[in-house]
Amino acid sequence: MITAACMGMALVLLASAETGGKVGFSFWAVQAVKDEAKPVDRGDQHRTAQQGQRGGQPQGLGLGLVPQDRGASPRSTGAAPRREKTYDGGLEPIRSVLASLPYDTFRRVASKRAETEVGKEERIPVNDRYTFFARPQSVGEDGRVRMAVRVEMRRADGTQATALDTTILLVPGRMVNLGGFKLDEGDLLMVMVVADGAGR
Amino acid sequence: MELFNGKYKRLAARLDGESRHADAGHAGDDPELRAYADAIRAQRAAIAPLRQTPRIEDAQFRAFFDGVREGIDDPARGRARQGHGRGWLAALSLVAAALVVAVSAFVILDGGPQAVQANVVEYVATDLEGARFDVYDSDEGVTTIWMVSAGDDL
Repeated sequence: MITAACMGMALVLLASAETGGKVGFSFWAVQAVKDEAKPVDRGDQHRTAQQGQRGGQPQGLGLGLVPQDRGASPRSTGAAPRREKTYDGGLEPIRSVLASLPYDTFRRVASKRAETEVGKEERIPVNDRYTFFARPQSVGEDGRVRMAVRVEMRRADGTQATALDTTILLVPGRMVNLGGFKLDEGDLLMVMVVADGAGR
Repeated sequence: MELFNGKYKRLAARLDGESRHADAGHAGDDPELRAYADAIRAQRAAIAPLRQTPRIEDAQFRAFFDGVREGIDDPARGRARQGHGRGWLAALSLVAAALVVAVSAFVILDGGPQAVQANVVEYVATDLEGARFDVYDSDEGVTTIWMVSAGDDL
């Protein structure tokens, strides 16, 4: 019985072991803007979000300070009147994430499909103010990826600061939305998703 | 024939003690009647013990009923008391129980079947003075980390 128990413990340890390998993920940085001039859509039928007209080009973003809706997260605005939303090209994979946010215009600032080794940091410049860093720390036997994510920003006085430092256990295919970073116009949000097959 | 049967009946009645045939049915020198009388006596002697039906007196009734109840409520214990050497069955049961415990422990420690999982935010921090984050999952399974107060650095 002791032998059987030891074998069982060994199997448990093997099953819970984490592996290395490569981790693929997709990343989008989006400028989200509330367009107060747009008419509120009060129709009974849900209107399908329309394709953006800006051709998917990253927008030039400044460094000024724009106070907007401080102290409120987007989930608290679910009952807000719907407006006709516009999306840049290239944001189709994350449109479902963006559609529920209380913004009217979504402009693609940056996007990248990356693959990096476990333990190696991937750096993705977003604009001249924000930089995104992602470092896979480990890949579990269940495919989940422990990812260290940082968002570095440059203050108005030119000094650097870590706007966000987080560790997330990511399920492949499940998106993460990092938002609320201020821009001259609107907010910056970053969406990432780990691809299936991480750790191979 | 009728006369013969009547003689047998009267003889049997007399042997049974019926008074109205007390003076009738003597076997006498008739060998057949004598043989019949002997056979009847032998039968009476053979079944005599069966007539003594055991009776349960009031004083014995509690013990009798306790025995009945024990037989109904706990027949297994009764069988076990018969002492037929069932040690190997006990050992087999113990091994089966140990196997069940080992398999259960493995399934529990292994996490069992993988359910639909969500992202887990393990750690959040910032250098920005006064900034704070709201972390939540949507119904669609999207994990959001939202800076709800940018602080003075922005």
